[in-house]
Amino acid sequence: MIVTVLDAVLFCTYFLLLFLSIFWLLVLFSSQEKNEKKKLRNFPFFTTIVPAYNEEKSVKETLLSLINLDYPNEKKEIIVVNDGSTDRTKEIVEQFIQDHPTNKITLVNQKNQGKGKAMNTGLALARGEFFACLDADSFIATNALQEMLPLFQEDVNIAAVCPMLKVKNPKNVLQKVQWCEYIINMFYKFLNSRLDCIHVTPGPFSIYKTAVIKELGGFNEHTITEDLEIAIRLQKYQYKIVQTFDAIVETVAPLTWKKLFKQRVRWYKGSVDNTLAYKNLIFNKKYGDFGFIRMPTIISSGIIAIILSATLFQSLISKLYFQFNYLKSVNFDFITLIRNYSFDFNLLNLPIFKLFVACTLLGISLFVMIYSYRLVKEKITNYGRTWLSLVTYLFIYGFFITLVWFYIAFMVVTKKKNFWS
Amino acid sequence: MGIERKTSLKKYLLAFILTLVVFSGGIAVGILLENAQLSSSQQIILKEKVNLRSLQLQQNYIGSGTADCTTLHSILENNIDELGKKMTLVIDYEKKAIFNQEEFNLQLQDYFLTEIQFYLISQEIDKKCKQDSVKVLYFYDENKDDTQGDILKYLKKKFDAKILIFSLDSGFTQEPMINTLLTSYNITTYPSMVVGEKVFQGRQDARELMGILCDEFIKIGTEVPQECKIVG
Repeated sequence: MIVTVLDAVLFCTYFLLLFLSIFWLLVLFSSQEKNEKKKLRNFPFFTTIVPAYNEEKSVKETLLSLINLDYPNEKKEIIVVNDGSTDRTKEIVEQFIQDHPTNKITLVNQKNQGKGKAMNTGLALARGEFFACLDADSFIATNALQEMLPLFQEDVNIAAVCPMLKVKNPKNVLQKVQWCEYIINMFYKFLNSRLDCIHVTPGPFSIYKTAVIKELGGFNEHTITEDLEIAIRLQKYQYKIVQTFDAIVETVAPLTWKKLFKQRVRWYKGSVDNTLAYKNLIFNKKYGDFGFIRMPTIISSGIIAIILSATLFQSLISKLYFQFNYLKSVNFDFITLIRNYSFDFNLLNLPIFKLFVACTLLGISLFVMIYSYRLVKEKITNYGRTWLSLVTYLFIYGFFITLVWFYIAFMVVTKKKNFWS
Repeated sequence: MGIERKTSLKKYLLAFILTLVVFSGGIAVGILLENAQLSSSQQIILKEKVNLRSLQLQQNYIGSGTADCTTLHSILENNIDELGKKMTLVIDYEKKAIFNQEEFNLQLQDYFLTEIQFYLISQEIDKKCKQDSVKVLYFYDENKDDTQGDILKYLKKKFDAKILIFSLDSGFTQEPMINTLLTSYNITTYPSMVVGEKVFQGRQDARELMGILCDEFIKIGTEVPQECKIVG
């Protein structure tokens, strides 16, 4: 057998993939001291910043979910930062303020300067001990603050708490696929949380300690993935980020492949940019598992996806090319070929080693899928129940994500900047 | 101030060991599979050799009238077809082999020798009986992705028993007999074919090769297949 460079790269890729899968399983099964669920001792003042850009369709519902929060009215405020919307966002918010005079709602209008700037504008006005950002396309459960704020009492180093994210009312196959994906992502966030390795505090209602964020200089206004940047910055300054599954935030997922593609390019390119910006954390023992596992895998997951799919694509193309040449050389005489077709299957000729590793990986993936649903107390039959969405998730979605990574590789090579969808 | 970071060294180590275990498991299964492939191909070659000996002995009795040509032609055709299929399998095994490369090479050598012996015996039979099929000696190039072999397979499907294909790897230096044949036919480029007495060097497309075969059918005086009439 001739071992090519490609074989060696593939071997290393499979090894790394399997190593990471097993590592996370070990994290899952390692004993962890169970913290008793704490109740909120007092009601600290709380600020919600709603950065809004052209959100006329959803901003009202978002504000409604905020005023309906199970939290004393006098202890919470809402700051809507209208980031230069060109639609009716401003008018809708003004009307909402008029309709709800008992709630502390402030509207700030500014020129369109990006989400980072909008967040800092809100942060400058925030009076809360804690604050959260709520994108105008996300909706929170009424118990969110009651569940999330007590977690800050567990450790003074906790600077942020992330909620459980779910896709709101998935309608088409693509949204159902994202519904499955969000649940599995939550599982990995749960594992990351165990190792203090959370690298993103998602835009929809992650709660921060106001003093800490102000001390660190607020949000980065030069990146469009400020939620990723602030999380890595918090890790850099040795703060703790915690994940909870008891507070649910629902968010509207993209309805079309094109929109999803743009969103994912923004997210993943943001991950790459921020990882590179904080590259001194990688394999730095001062940052423990965050430096050794989390930071390197942000980029390596993209590289693995590119290597595996490029190999598959190359072999598929060369097979198709060979087959086409053959058919061309026999003048596309399908009749003779079909009439004399015989199916030769030889069990001994199967690529057993590859199958063995692939089956192990598939087994682990299935386990993760089932366990994720158990963790978030969802039935696997919910939303993802249509065969089409499950099949799409298992077989097509991976290729789609790989396509995103390919585009990001292209952006990195051509030094293209990240963009808003 | 600040959290106390931990590095899960024990987990890294355990994950590494478990990954090695899974990979070793894969390799162990691979070894078992290779051994199974080896014994399977040993059995196949043994069967083919027995058939060859039987054919050799039977062809000695053609003159005496105790063995008839039709039966011999049929045995020869079945054996060549089977040998061709099995050889593809052994070549595949040999390519993927990691631990028994040498054994597979020996088996392949054995296969090629058996194939040459079948080719020589087919010529003997043709001398004694009326020739009813065209023999194609095909020298392929393992290092090239050529489609000549597939074209031959396609024509075999078209003409069935009317053509017998004997495939040999032109680059299999371990067996000097292949080189002897190449020298005797003066072949220098690959893929190449010997059809009847004629040598065709380089790739022939399906139409060209069909024409060559049809000419040969006419030459040997056997019934010309319908397909040849379409080619003209």
